[in-house]
Amino acid sequence: MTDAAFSAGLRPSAVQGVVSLDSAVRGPGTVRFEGVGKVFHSSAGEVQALKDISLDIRAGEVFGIIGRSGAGKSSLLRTINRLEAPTTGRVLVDGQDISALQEDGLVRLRRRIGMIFQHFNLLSAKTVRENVALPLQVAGVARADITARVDEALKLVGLEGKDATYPSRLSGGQKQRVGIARALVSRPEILLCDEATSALDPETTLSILELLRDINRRLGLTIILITHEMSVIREICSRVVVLETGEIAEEGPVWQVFGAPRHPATQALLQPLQRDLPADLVAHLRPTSQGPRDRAVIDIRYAGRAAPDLSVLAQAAGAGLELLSAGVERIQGHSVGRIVLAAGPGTDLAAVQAAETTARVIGYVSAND
Amino acid sequence: MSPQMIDRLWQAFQDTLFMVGVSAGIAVLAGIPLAVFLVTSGHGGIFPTPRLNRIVGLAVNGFRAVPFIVLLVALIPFTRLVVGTTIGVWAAIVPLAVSATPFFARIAEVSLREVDPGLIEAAQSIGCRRWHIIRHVLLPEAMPGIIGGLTITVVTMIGASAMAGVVGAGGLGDVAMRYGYQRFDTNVMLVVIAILIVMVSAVQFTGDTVVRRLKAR
Ligand SMILES: Nc1ncnc2c1ncn2[C@@H]1O[C@H](COP(=O)(O)OP(=O)(O)OP(=O)(O)O)[C@@H](O)[C@H]1O
Ligand SMILES: [Mg+2]
Repeated sequence: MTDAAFSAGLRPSAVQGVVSLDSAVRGPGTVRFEGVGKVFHSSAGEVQALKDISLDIRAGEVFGIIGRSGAGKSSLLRTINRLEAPTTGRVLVDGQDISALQEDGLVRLRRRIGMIFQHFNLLSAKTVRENVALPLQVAGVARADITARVDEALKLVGLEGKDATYPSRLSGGQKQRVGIARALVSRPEILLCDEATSALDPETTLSILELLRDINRRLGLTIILITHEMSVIREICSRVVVLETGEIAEEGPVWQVFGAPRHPATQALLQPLQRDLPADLVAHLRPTSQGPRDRAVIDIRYAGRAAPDLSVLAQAAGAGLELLSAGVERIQGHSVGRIVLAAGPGTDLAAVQAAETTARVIGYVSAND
Repeated sequence: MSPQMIDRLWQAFQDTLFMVGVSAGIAVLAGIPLAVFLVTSGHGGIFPTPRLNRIVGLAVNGFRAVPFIVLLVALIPFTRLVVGTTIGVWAAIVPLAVSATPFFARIAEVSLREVDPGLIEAAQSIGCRRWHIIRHVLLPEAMPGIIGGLTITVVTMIGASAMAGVVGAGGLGDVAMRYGYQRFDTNVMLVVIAILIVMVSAVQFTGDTVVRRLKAR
Protein backbone atom coordinates (compact mmCIF):
# COMPACT_ATOMS: atom_id res chain seq x y z
CA MET A 1 0.00 0.00 0.00
CA THR A 2 1.35 3.40 -0.80
CA ASP A 3 1.84 5.94 1.93
CA ALA A 4 -0.89 8.15 0.57
CA ALA A 5 -3.50 5.44 0.31
CA PHE A 6 -2.46 4.18 3.67
CA SER A 7 -2.82 7.45 5.45
CA ALA A 8 -6.11 8.06 3.70
CA GLY A 9 -7.25 4.74 5.13
CA LEU A 10 -6.73 6.06 8.63
CA ARG A 11 -8.02 9.54 8.00
CA PRO A 12 -10.99 10.14 10.23
CA SER A 13 -13.22 11.47 7.53
CA ALA A 14 -12.31 8.91 4.87
CA VAL A 15 -15.00 6.40 4.22
CA GLN A 16 -13.23 3.71 2.26
CA GLY A 17 -14.12 0.09 1.65
CA VAL A 18 -13.97 -0.43 5.37
CA VAL A 19 -16.86 1.49 6.84
CA SER A 20 -16.25 2.74 10.31
CA LEU A 21 -19.11 2.27 12.74
CA ASP A 22 -19.59 5.84 13.72
CA SER A 23 -18.03 7.71 10.86
CA ALA A 24 -21.24 9.68 10.54
CA VAL A 25 -20.67 11.56 13.78
CA ARG A 26 -16.98 12.29 13.31
CA GLY A 27 -16.19 15.94 13.27
CA PRO A 28 -13.16 18.05 12.73
CA GLY A 29 -11.78 17.71 16.24
CA THR A 30 -12.29 20.95 18.10
CA VAL A 31 -12.48 21.27 21.86
CA ARG A 32 -13.93 24.20 23.77
CA PHE A 33 -13.74 24.65 27.52
CA GLU A 34 -16.32 27.02 28.96
CA GLY A 35 -15.65 28.08 32.55
CA VAL A 36 -14.53 24.58 33.49
CA GLY A 37 -13.93 24.01 37.19
CA LYS A 38 -13.12 20.83 39.05
CA VAL A 39 -13.17 20.18 42.77
CA PHE A 40 -11.87 16.91 44.18
CA HIS A 41 -13.14 15.72 47.54
CA SER A 42 -10.48 13.71 49.25
CA SER A 43 -9.79 12.68 52.83
CA ALA A 44 -7.49 15.70 53.11
CA GLY A 45 -10.38 18.01 52.23
CA GLU A 46 -11.39 19.76 49.05
CA VAL A 47 -8.93 20.39 46.26
CA GLN A 48 -9.77 22.93 43.60
CA ALA A 49 -7.92 21.33 40.70
CA LEU A 50 -9.35 23.61 37.98
CA LYS A 51 -10.78 27.10 38.19
CA ASP A 52 -12.82 28.74 35.46
CA ILE A 53 -10.89 27.46 32.47
CA SER A 54 -12.06 28.82 29.14
CA LEU A 55 -10.10 27.77 26.13
CA ASP A 56 -10.52 26.90 22.47
CA ILE A 57 -8.54 24.17 20.77
CA ARG A 58 -8.67 24.24 17.01
CA ALA A 59 -9.10 21.40 14.61
CA GLY A 60 -5.87 19.83 13.45
CA GLU A 61 -3.52 21.72 15.73
CA VAL A 62 -0.95 20.36 18.16
CA PHE A 63 -1.81 21.98 21.44
CA GLY A 64 0.41 21.86 24.53
CA ILE A 65 -0.55 22.02 28.19
CA ILE A 66 2.24 22.86 30.61
CA GLY A 67 2.47 23.79 34.24
CA ARG A 68 4.05 22.73 37.47
CA SER A 69 3.21 19.40 39.07
CA GLY A 70 -0.29 19.54 40.51
CA ALA A 71 -1.28 22.53 38.36
CA GLY A 72 -4.25 20.61 36.98
CA LYS A 73 -2.95 19.55 33.56
CA SER A 74 -4.14 15.96 33.75
CA SER A 75 -7.44 16.99 35.26
CA LEU A 76 -8.04 19.35 32.35
CA LEU A 77 -7.03 16.84 29.68
CA ARG A 78 -9.18 14.14 31.24
CA THR A 79 -12.31 16.26 31.05
CA ILE A 80 -12.10 16.00 27.26
CA ASN A 81 -13.02 12.31 27.20
CA ARG A 82 -14.77 12.60 30.54
CA LEU A 83 -12.47 10.36 32.46
CA GLU A 84 -13.02 13.29 34.78
CA ALA A 85 -16.33 15.15 34.91
CA PRO A 86 -16.07 18.91 35.50
CA THR A 87 -17.75 20.23 38.62
CA THR A 88 -18.73 23.44 36.87
CA GLY A 89 -18.72 24.69 33.29
CA ARG A 90 -18.90 22.67 30.10
CA VAL A 91 -16.65 20.93 27.65
CA LEU A 92 -17.70 20.91 24.01
CA VAL A 93 -16.21 18.49 21.54
CA ASP A 94 -17.02 19.56 18.01
CA GLY A 95 -19.66 21.80 19.50
CA GLN A 96 -21.35 18.99 21.40
CA ASP A 97 -21.72 19.39 25.16
CA ILE A 98 -20.38 16.13 26.52
CA SER A 99 -21.56 16.54 30.10
CA ALA A 100 -25.02 15.16 29.41
CA LEU A 101 -23.84 11.95 27.74
CA GLN A 102 -25.01 8.62 29.12
CA GLU A 103 -22.92 5.45 28.82
CA ASP A 104 -23.81 4.88 25.14
CA GLY A 105 -23.00 8.41 24.13
CA LEU A 106 -19.86 8.43 26.21
CA VAL A 107 -18.61 5.23 24.62
CA ARG A 108 -19.25 6.72 21.17
CA LEU A 109 -17.45 9.94 22.15
CA ARG A 110 -14.45 8.03 23.46
CA ARG A 111 -14.14 6.13 20.22
CA ARG A 112 -13.53 9.51 18.57
CA ILE A 113 -10.87 10.49 21.07
CA GLY A 114 -7.67 8.48 21.39
CA MET A 115 -5.51 8.70 24.48
CA ILE A 116 -1.96 7.69 25.31
CA PHE A 117 -0.37 7.53 28.72
CA GLN A 118 2.96 8.00 30.45
CA HIS A 119 3.07 4.37 31.54
CA PHE A 120 1.53 3.09 28.30
CA ASN A 121 -1.24 1.14 30.11
CA LEU A 122 -1.12 -1.85 27.78
CA LEU A 123 -2.89 -5.06 28.76
CA SER A 124 -0.21 -7.53 29.78
CA ALA A 125 -2.41 -10.56 29.14
CA LYS A 126 -2.94 -9.62 25.49
CA THR A 127 -0.54 -9.62 22.58
CA VAL A 128 0.32 -6.47 20.67
CA ARG A 129 -2.29 -7.36 18.08
CA GLU A 130 -4.96 -8.08 20.69
CA ASN A 131 -4.19 -4.80 22.46
CA VAL A 132 -4.52 -2.79 19.27
CA ALA A 133 -7.60 -4.76 18.18
CA LEU A 134 -9.50 -4.23 21.43
CA PRO A 135 -11.07 -0.84 20.58
CA LEU A 136 -12.50 -2.35 17.39
CA GLN A 137 -13.46 -5.63 19.01
CA VAL A 138 -15.54 -3.91 21.69
CA ALA A 139 -17.09 -1.71 19.01
CA GLY A 140 -18.30 -4.84 17.23
CA VAL A 141 -16.28 -4.35 14.04
CA ALA A 142 -16.18 -7.44 11.83
CA ARG A 143 -13.19 -9.71 12.33
CA ALA A 144 -11.78 -9.30 8.84
CA ASP A 145 -11.95 -5.54 9.09
CA ILE A 146 -10.24 -5.65 12.46
CA THR A 147 -7.30 -7.56 11.01
CA ALA A 148 -6.89 -5.09 8.18
CA ARG A 149 -7.12 -2.04 10.39
CA VAL A 150 -4.80 -3.39 13.05
CA ASP A 151 -2.27 -4.13 10.30
CA GLU A 152 -2.62 -0.55 9.09
CA ALA A 153 -2.19 0.91 12.55
CA LEU A 154 0.83 -1.27 13.33
CA LYS A 155 2.39 -0.27 10.07
CA LEU A 156 1.75 3.39 10.79
CA VAL A 157 3.68 3.18 14.07
CA GLY A 158 6.39 0.99 12.58
CA LEU A 159 5.65 -2.20 14.51
CA GLU A 160 4.96 -4.69 11.74
CA GLY A 161 6.06 -8.16 12.73
CA LYS A 162 5.65 -7.54 16.46
CA ASP A 163 1.98 -8.41 16.52
CA ALA A 164 2.30 -11.75 18.32
CA THR A 165 4.57 -10.36 21.04
CA TYR A 166 3.40 -9.60 24.57
CA PRO A 167 3.96 -6.01 25.78
CA SER A 168 6.38 -7.07 28.53
CA ARG A 169 8.83 -8.05 25.80
CA LEU A 170 8.89 -4.59 24.25
CA SER A 171 11.05 -1.54 24.94
CA GLY A 172 9.45 1.62 26.30
CA GLY A 173 9.43 3.24 22.89
CA GLN A 174 7.83 0.19 21.31
CA LYS A 175 5.22 0.05 24.07
CA GLN A 176 4.30 3.67 23.41
CA ARG A 177 4.02 2.86 19.71
CA VAL A 178 1.54 0.11 20.59
CA GLY A 179 -0.28 2.68 22.73
CA ILE A 180 -0.42 5.04 19.77
CA ALA A 181 -1.62 2.30 17.43
CA ARG A 182 -4.34 1.37 19.92
CA ALA A 183 -5.38 5.01 20.18
CA LEU A 184 -5.46 5.49 16.41
CA VAL A 185 -7.08 2.27 15.30
CA SER A 186 -10.58 3.68 15.81
CA ARG A 187 -9.63 6.61 13.57
CA PRO A 188 -10.14 9.28 16.19
CA GLU A 189 -10.25 12.98 15.43
CA ILE A 190 -8.47 13.95 18.65
CA LEU A 191 -5.46 12.39 20.34
CA LEU A 192 -4.80 13.12 24.03
CA CYS A 193 -1.27 12.56 25.32
CA ASP A 194 -0.62 12.70 29.06
CA GLU A 195 3.16 12.88 29.44
CA ALA A 196 3.49 10.32 26.69
CA THR A 197 7.26 10.67 26.45
CA SER A 198 8.12 11.21 30.10
CA ALA A 199 9.16 7.61 30.65
CA LEU A 200 11.35 7.49 27.54
CA ASP A 201 14.98 8.32 26.89
CA PRO A 202 15.76 11.44 24.81
CA GLU A 203 16.36 9.56 21.58
CA THR A 204 13.17 7.53 21.86
CA THR A 205 11.32 10.72 22.83
CA LEU A 206 12.44 12.29 19.58
CA SER A 207 11.28 9.34 17.52
CA ILE A 208 7.88 9.32 19.24
CA LEU A 209 7.53 13.08 18.68
CA GLU A 210 8.44 12.57 15.06
CA LEU A 211 5.69 9.96 14.85
CA LEU A 212 3.14 12.25 16.52
CA ARG A 213 4.02 15.11 14.21
CA ASP A 214 3.75 12.78 11.24
CA ILE A 215 0.35 11.55 12.40
CA ASN A 216 -0.83 15.09 12.90
CA ARG A 217 0.21 16.05 9.37
CA ARG A 218 -0.95 12.96 7.57
CA LEU A 219 -4.20 12.26 9.39
CA GLY A 220 -5.00 15.83 10.29
CA LEU A 221 -6.08 14.92 13.79
CA THR A 222 -5.96 17.34 16.68
CA ILE A 223 -3.28 16.48 19.24
CA ILE A 224 -3.48 17.78 22.79
CA LEU A 225 -0.48 16.98 24.90
CA ILE A 226 0.82 17.46 28.42
CA THR A 227 4.52 17.44 29.04
CA HIS A 228 7.15 18.58 31.49
CA GLU A 229 9.71 18.73 28.70
CA MET A 230 9.64 22.23 27.25
CA SER A 231 11.65 21.03 24.29
CA VAL A 232 8.72 18.79 23.36
CA ILE A 233 6.42 21.80 23.25
CA ARG A 234 8.92 23.78 21.20
CA GLU A 235 9.42 20.82 18.92
CA ILE A 236 5.84 20.04 17.90
CA CYS A 237 3.21 22.35 19.41
CA SER A 238 1.67 25.29 17.68
CA ARG A 239 -0.08 26.75 20.71
CA VAL A 240 0.35 26.26 24.41
CA VAL A 241 -1.50 26.99 27.62
CA VAL A 242 0.30 27.43 30.93
CA LEU A 243 -1.66 26.32 34.00
CA GLU A 244 -0.87 27.49 37.48
CA THR A 245 -2.84 26.19 40.50
CA GLY A 246 -5.77 25.30 38.30
CA GLU A 247 -5.95 28.58 36.41
CA ILE A 248 -4.70 29.73 33.03
CA ALA A 249 -1.50 31.69 33.59
CA GLU A 250 -1.00 32.44 29.92
CA GLU A 251 -1.88 31.06 26.57
CA GLY A 252 -0.85 31.64 23.00
CA PRO A 253 1.34 30.56 20.10
CA VAL A 254 4.42 28.73 21.33
CA TRP A 255 6.81 31.21 19.77
CA GLN A 256 5.12 34.03 21.67
CA VAL A 257 4.79 32.33 25.03
CA PHE A 258 8.29 30.90 24.84
CA GLY A 259 9.85 33.96 23.29
CA ALA A 260 8.50 36.43 25.79
CA PRO A 261 7.05 34.61 28.81
CA ARG A 262 4.99 37.06 30.84
CA HIS A 263 3.81 35.01 33.78
CA PRO A 264 6.28 34.02 36.54
CA ALA A 265 5.05 30.42 36.27
CA THR A 266 6.01 30.33 32.60
CA GLN A 267 9.35 31.91 33.30
CA ALA A 268 10.06 29.33 35.98
CA LEU A 269 9.11 26.49 33.64
CA LEU A 270 11.27 27.85 30.86
CA GLN A 271 14.28 28.42 33.11
CA PRO A 272 16.08 25.22 32.07
CA LEU A 273 15.72 26.15 28.41
CA GLN A 274 17.44 29.49 28.87
CA ARG A 275 21.02 28.48 28.59
CA ASP A 276 22.01 31.79 27.07
CA LEU A 277 22.79 33.50 30.36
CA PRO A 278 26.34 32.26 31.16
CA ALA A 279 26.67 30.58 34.52
CA ASP A 280 29.68 32.65 35.62
CA LEU A 281 27.73 35.81 34.87
CA VAL A 282 24.81 34.58 36.96
CA ALA A 283 27.25 33.83 39.79
CA HIS A 284 28.57 37.39 39.79
CA LEU A 285 25.24 39.08 39.34
CA ARG A 286 24.21 41.31 42.26
CA PRO A 287 20.74 42.78 42.67
CA THR A 288 21.98 46.30 43.43
CA SER A 289 24.84 48.50 42.36
CA GLN A 290 27.66 48.41 44.92
CA GLY A 291 29.76 51.27 43.59
CA PRO A 292 30.02 53.90 40.90
CA ARG A 293 32.17 51.66 38.72
CA ASP A 294 29.67 48.75 38.64
CA ARG A 295 28.19 47.87 35.30
CA ALA A 296 24.49 47.29 34.72
CA VAL A 297 23.47 44.05 33.02
CA ILE A 298 20.71 44.61 30.46
CA ASP A 299 18.54 41.77 29.30
CA ILE A 300 16.63 42.06 26.03
CA ARG A 301 14.22 39.42 24.80
CA TYR A 302 12.31 39.53 21.60
CA ALA A 303 10.03 37.22 19.72
CA GLY A 304 8.51 37.25 16.28
CA ARG A 305 10.30 40.36 15.10
CA ALA A 306 13.73 41.40 13.90
CA ALA A 307 16.52 41.67 16.45
CA PRO A 308 16.98 45.16 17.94
CA ASP A 309 19.58 47.21 16.08
CA LEU A 310 22.64 47.14 18.32
CA SER A 311 24.14 50.26 16.78
CA VAL A 312 21.00 52.21 17.68
CA LEU A 313 21.26 50.96 21.23
CA ALA A 314 24.95 51.82 21.43
CA GLN A 315 24.18 55.31 20.22
CA ALA A 316 21.43 55.75 22.77
CA ALA A 317 23.66 54.46 25.54
CA GLY A 318 26.32 57.04 24.78
CA ALA A 319 29.04 55.13 26.60
CA GLY A 320 30.47 51.67 26.05
CA LEU A 321 28.04 48.76 25.73
CA GLU A 322 29.52 45.31 25.85
CA LEU A 323 27.80 42.26 24.42
CA LEU A 324 27.90 39.53 27.06
CA SER A 325 25.82 36.88 25.35
CA ALA A 326 23.27 36.51 22.61
CA GLY A 327 21.23 33.71 21.22
CA VAL A 328 18.59 33.39 18.54
CA GLU A 329 16.50 30.40 17.68
CA ARG A 330 13.60 29.82 15.43
CA ILE A 331 10.31 28.47 16.74
CA GLN A 332 7.69 27.76 14.09
CA GLY A 333 9.32 30.21 11.72
CA HIS A 334 9.56 33.01 14.27
CA SER A 335 12.83 34.37 15.59
CA VAL A 336 13.05 34.18 19.33
CA GLY A 337 16.12 35.79 20.80
CA ARG A 338 17.82 37.01 23.87
CA ILE A 339 20.63 39.57 24.12
CA VAL A 340 22.53 40.33 27.31
CA LEU A 341 24.56 43.54 27.44
CA ALA A 342 26.79 45.11 30.07
CA ALA A 343 26.64 48.92 30.30
CA GLY A 344 29.57 50.79 31.77
CA PRO A 345 29.31 53.73 34.19
CA GLY A 346 27.83 56.81 32.60
CA THR A 347 25.51 54.87 30.32
CA ASP A 348 22.16 56.49 29.72
CA LEU A 349 19.98 53.51 30.78
CA ALA A 350 16.77 55.44 30.25
CA ALA A 351 17.71 56.16 26.67
CA VAL A 352 18.51 52.49 26.07
CA GLN A 353 15.14 51.56 27.47
CA ALA A 354 13.48 54.16 25.29
CA ALA A 355 15.19 52.73 22.21
CA GLU A 356 14.32 49.16 23.15
CA THR A 357 11.27 48.86 25.33
CA THR A 358 11.87 45.23 26.34
CA ALA A 359 15.29 46.08 27.80
CA ARG A 360 15.43 45.29 31.48
CA VAL A 361 18.23 45.74 34.00
CA ILE A 362 18.57 42.35 35.67
CA GLY A 363 21.45 43.20 38.01
CA TYR A 364 24.93 44.56 38.34
CA VAL A 365 28.43 43.19 38.07
CA SER A 366 31.56 44.87 39.39
CA ALA A 367 33.95 46.43 36.89
CA ASN A 368 36.57 43.70 37.03
CA ASP A 369 34.21 40.73 36.55
CA MET B 1 -2.93 -54.66 53.56
CA SER B 2 -6.00 -56.64 52.55
CA PRO B 3 -7.51 -56.36 49.09
CA GLN B 4 -10.70 -55.06 50.73
CA MET B 5 -8.72 -52.29 52.34
CA ILE B 6 -7.16 -51.40 49.00
CA ASP B 7 -10.64 -51.27 47.44
CA ARG B 8 -11.83 -49.12 50.32
CA LEU B 9 -8.92 -46.72 49.86
CA TRP B 10 -9.49 -46.51 46.12
CA GLN B 11 -13.17 -45.76 46.69
CA ALA B 12 -12.24 -43.14 49.31
CA PHE B 13 -9.75 -41.52 46.94
CA GLN B 14 -12.43 -41.26 44.26
CA ASP B 15 -14.92 -39.82 46.74
CA THR B 16 -12.46 -37.16 47.89
CA LEU B 17 -11.58 -36.29 44.31
CA PHE B 18 -15.26 -36.00 43.42
CA MET B 19 -16.24 -33.96 46.46
CA VAL B 20 -13.36 -31.55 46.12
CA GLY B 21 -13.66 -31.35 42.33
CA VAL B 22 -17.35 -30.56 42.23
CA SER B 23 -17.26 -28.09 45.10
CA ALA B 24 -14.17 -26.38 43.66
CA GLY B 25 -16.06 -26.02 40.38
CA ILE B 26 -18.97 -24.43 42.24
CA ALA B 27 -16.58 -22.19 44.19
CA VAL B 28 -15.09 -20.93 40.91
CA LEU B 29 -18.47 -20.37 39.25
CA ALA B 30 -19.85 -18.52 42.25
CA GLY B 31 -16.67 -17.06 43.72
CA ILE B 32 -15.42 -15.18 40.66
CA PRO B 33 -18.65 -13.26 40.10
CA LEU B 34 -18.76 -12.60 43.84
CA ALA B 35 -15.19 -11.28 43.78
CA VAL B 36 -15.92 -9.12 40.73
CA PHE B 37 -19.00 -7.78 42.50
CA LEU B 38 -17.02 -6.96 45.64
CA VAL B 39 -14.40 -5.09 43.60
CA THR B 40 -16.61 -3.22 41.15
CA SER B 41 -19.52 -2.27 43.41
CA GLY B 42 -17.45 -0.44 45.99
CA HIS B 43 -17.11 3.32 46.26
CA GLY B 44 -15.54 4.63 43.04
CA GLY B 45 -15.90 1.25 41.32
CA ILE B 46 -17.35 0.82 37.86
CA PHE B 47 -20.71 -0.42 39.20
CA PRO B 48 -20.96 1.60 42.39
CA THR B 49 -23.61 0.28 44.80
CA PRO B 50 -21.79 0.87 48.09
CA ARG B 51 -24.63 -0.22 50.35
CA LEU B 52 -25.17 -3.59 48.68
CA ASN B 53 -21.40 -3.96 48.58
CA ARG B 54 -21.22 -3.58 52.35
CA ILE B 55 -24.04 -6.07 52.94
CA VAL B 56 -22.49 -8.72 50.70
CA GLY B 57 -19.09 -8.08 52.28
CA LEU B 58 -20.56 -8.69 55.74
CA ALA B 59 -22.26 -11.90 54.58
CA VAL B 60 -18.98 -13.16 53.13
CA ASN B 61 -17.20 -12.42 56.40
CA GLY B 62 -19.95 -14.21 58.27
CA PHE B 63 -19.51 -17.43 56.31
CA ARG B 64 -15.75 -17.18 56.62
CA ALA B 65 -15.97 -16.80 60.39
CA VAL B 66 -17.83 -20.10 60.90
CA PRO B 67 -15.52 -23.14 61.30
CA PHE B 68 -16.13 -25.74 58.60
CA ILE B 69 -17.14 -28.47 61.01
CA VAL B 70 -19.87 -26.21 62.39
CA LEU B 71 -20.98 -25.19 58.92
CA LEU B 72 -21.20 -28.84 57.95
CA VAL B 73 -23.79 -29.46 60.66
CA ALA B 74 -25.49 -26.08 60.59
CA LEU B 75 -26.16 -26.37 56.87
CA ILE B 76 -27.91 -29.74 57.11
CA PRO B 77 -31.41 -28.27 56.53
CA PHE B 78 -30.12 -26.26 53.59
CA THR B 79 -28.32 -29.31 52.23
CA ARG B 80 -31.52 -31.33 52.38
CA LEU B 81 -33.31 -28.56 50.51
CA VAL B 82 -30.70 -28.43 47.75
CA VAL B 83 -29.69 -32.06 47.18
CA GLY B 84 -32.58 -33.87 48.86
CA THR B 85 -30.39 -35.86 51.25
CA THR B 86 -28.25 -35.23 54.31
CA ILE B 87 -25.81 -38.08 53.95
CA GLY B 88 -23.32 -39.14 51.30
CA VAL B 89 -20.96 -37.37 48.94
CA TRP B 90 -23.51 -34.84 47.72
CA ALA B 91 -24.34 -33.88 51.28
CA ALA B 92 -20.70 -32.96 51.78
CA ILE B 93 -20.45 -31.04 48.51
CA VAL B 94 -22.98 -28.43 49.60
CA PRO B 95 -21.17 -27.30 52.78
CA LEU B 96 -17.77 -27.62 51.09
CA ALA B 97 -18.88 -25.31 48.28
CA VAL B 98 -20.56 -22.91 50.66
CA SER B 99 -17.39 -22.67 52.70
CA ALA B 100 -14.95 -22.51 49.76
CA THR B 101 -16.85 -19.87 47.77
CA PRO B 102 -16.35 -16.90 50.14
CA PHE B 103 -12.81 -18.06 50.88
CA PHE B 104 -11.89 -18.14 47.20
CA ALA B 105 -13.84 -14.94 46.48
CA ARG B 106 -11.81 -12.98 49.02
CA ILE B 107 -8.52 -14.22 47.53
CA ALA B 108 -9.67 -13.47 43.98
CA GLU B 109 -10.86 -10.06 45.17
CA VAL B 110 -7.35 -9.16 46.29
CA SER B 111 -5.94 -10.01 42.86
CA LEU B 112 -8.67 -8.04 41.09
CA ARG B 113 -8.01 -5.02 43.27
CA GLU B 114 -4.35 -5.11 42.33
CA VAL B 115 -5.11 -4.52 38.66
CA ASP B 116 -3.57 -1.15 37.76
CA PRO B 117 -6.34 1.51 37.67
CA GLY B 118 -4.46 2.97 34.68
CA LEU B 119 -5.49 -0.10 32.68
CA ILE B 120 -9.14 0.47 33.51
CA GLU B 121 -8.77 4.09 32.43
CA ALA B 122 -7.07 3.08 29.21
CA ALA B 123 -9.94 0.67 28.56
CA GLN B 124 -12.48 3.40 29.21
CA SER B 125 -10.60 5.74 26.92
CA ILE B 126 -10.83 3.31 24.00
CA GLY B 127 -14.58 2.98 24.43
CA CYS B 128 -14.91 -0.16 26.54
CA ARG B 129 -18.20 -0.62 28.30
CA ARG B 130 -18.17 -1.80 31.87
CA TRP B 131 -18.60 -5.46 31.11
CA HIS B 132 -15.82 -5.21 28.54
CA ILE B 133 -13.59 -3.93 31.31
CA ILE B 134 -14.44 -6.96 33.44
CA ARG B 135 -13.91 -9.36 30.58
CA HIS B 136 -10.88 -7.85 28.88
CA VAL B 137 -9.08 -6.08 31.69
CA LEU B 138 -9.98 -7.18 35.22
CA LEU B 139 -10.24 -10.94 34.77
CA PRO B 140 -7.32 -11.54 32.35
CA GLU B 141 -4.97 -9.21 34.22
CA ALA B 142 -5.82 -10.77 37.59
CA MET B 143 -5.74 -14.34 36.24
CA PRO B 144 -2.35 -15.37 37.67
CA GLY B 145 -3.46 -14.26 41.14
CA ILE B 146 -6.85 -15.92 40.74
CA ILE B 147 -5.27 -19.23 39.73
CA GLY B 148 -2.87 -18.95 42.65
CA GLY B 149 -5.86 -18.35 44.92
CA LEU B 150 -7.69 -21.33 43.45
CA THR B 151 -4.68 -23.52 44.26
CA ILE B 152 -4.79 -22.43 47.89
CA THR B 153 -8.56 -22.95 47.97
CA VAL B 154 -8.39 -26.50 46.58
CA VAL B 155 -5.63 -27.49 48.99
CA THR B 156 -7.68 -26.13 51.89
CA MET B 157 -10.72 -28.04 50.59
CA ILE B 158 -8.81 -31.30 50.47
CA GLY B 159 -8.09 -30.77 54.15
CA ALA B 160 -11.67 -29.80 54.96
CA SER B 161 -13.08 -32.80 53.10
CA ALA B 162 -11.55 -35.03 55.76
CA MET B 163 -14.40 -33.90 58.01
CA ALA B 164 -17.00 -34.96 55.49
CA GLY B 165 -17.22 -38.31 57.30
CA VAL B 166 -19.50 -36.53 59.75
CA VAL B 167 -22.24 -36.57 57.13
CA GLY B 168 -21.25 -40.05 55.93
CA ALA B 169 -19.66 -38.83 52.76
CA GLY B 170 -16.65 -41.09 53.00
CA GLY B 171 -13.45 -39.98 51.44
CA LEU B 172 -9.84 -40.39 52.52
CA GLY B 173 -10.15 -38.47 55.76
CA ASP B 174 -13.01 -40.70 56.82
CA VAL B 175 -10.98 -43.86 56.18
CA ALA B 176 -8.05 -42.47 58.14
CA MET B 177 -10.30 -41.64 61.07
CA ARG B 178 -12.15 -44.93 61.15
CA TYR B 179 -9.33 -47.36 60.52
CA GLY B 180 -6.24 -45.43 61.41
CA TYR B 181 -7.43 -43.56 64.48
CA GLN B 182 -10.21 -45.64 65.95
CA ARG B 183 -8.73 -49.09 65.15
CA PHE B 184 -5.07 -48.16 65.46
CA ASP B 185 -4.22 -49.41 61.96
CA THR B 186 -1.11 -47.29 61.48
CA ASN B 187 -0.49 -48.61 57.96
CA VAL B 188 -3.82 -47.31 56.71
CA MET B 189 -3.13 -44.00 58.36
CA LEU B 190 0.26 -43.71 56.67
CA VAL B 191 -1.09 -44.70 53.26
CA VAL B 192 -3.87 -42.11 53.52
CA ILE B 193 -1.39 -39.42 54.52
CA ALA B 194 0.84 -40.37 51.59
CA ILE B 195 -2.08 -40.16 49.17
CA LEU B 196 -3.09 -36.78 50.58
CA ILE B 197 0.46 -35.48 50.24
CA VAL B 198 0.57 -36.59 46.62
CA MET B 199 -2.82 -34.96 45.91
CA VAL B 200 -1.87 -31.68 47.53
CA SER B 201 1.49 -31.64 45.75
CA ALA B 202 -0.16 -32.36 42.41
CA VAL B 203 -2.62 -29.49 42.91
CA GLN B 204 0.12 -27.12 44.01
CA PHE B 205 2.39 -28.10 41.14
CA THR B 206 -0.36 -27.70 38.56
CA GLY B 207 -1.37 -24.33 39.95
CA ASP B 208 2.20 -23.07 40.09
CA THR B 209 2.86 -24.20 36.53
CA VAL B 210 -0.21 -22.43 35.17
CA VAL B 211 0.66 -19.25 37.06
CA ARG B 212 4.24 -19.38 35.77
CA ARG B 213 3.01 -19.81 32.19
CA LEU B 214 0.63 -16.87 32.54
CA LYS B 215 3.27 -14.66 34.04
CA ALA B 216 5.90 -15.57 31.49
CA ARG B 217 4.22 -13.63 28.73
N1 LIG C 1 -8.69 11.75 42.01
C1 LIG C 1 -8.26 12.80 42.75
N2 LIG C 1 -8.66 12.96 44.01
C2 LIG C 1 -8.26 14.00 44.76
N3 LIG C 1 -7.44 14.97 44.32
C3 LIG C 1 -7.00 14.87 43.05
C4 LIG C 1 -7.37 13.78 42.20
N4 LIG C 1 -6.77 13.94 41.00
C5 LIG C 1 -6.05 15.07 41.11
N5 LIG C 1 -6.18 15.64 42.32
C6 LIG C 1 -5.58 16.90 42.78
O1 LIG C 1 -5.86 17.89 41.82
C7 LIG C 1 -4.74 18.71 41.59
C8 LIG C 1 -4.37 18.68 40.12
O2 LIG C 1 -3.96 17.40 39.78
P1 LIG C 1 -3.50 16.99 38.32
O3 LIG C 1 -3.23 15.53 38.33
O4 LIG C 1 -4.46 17.51 37.33
O5 LIG C 1 -2.13 17.80 38.20
P2 LIG C 1 -1.04 17.75 37.03
O6 LIG C 1 -0.86 19.14 36.59
O7 LIG C 1 -1.41 16.74 36.02
O8 LIG C 1 0.23 17.28 37.85
P3 LIG C 1 1.46 16.35 37.37
O9 LIG C 1 2.33 17.20 36.53
O10 LIG C 1 2.11 15.98 38.66
O11 LIG C 1 0.89 15.18 36.64
C9 LIG C 1 -3.65 18.20 42.50
O12 LIG C 1 -3.62 19.00 43.65
C10 LIG C 1 -4.07 16.81 42.83
O13 LIG C 1 -3.62 16.45 44.10
MG1 LIG D 1 -0.58 14.83 35.43
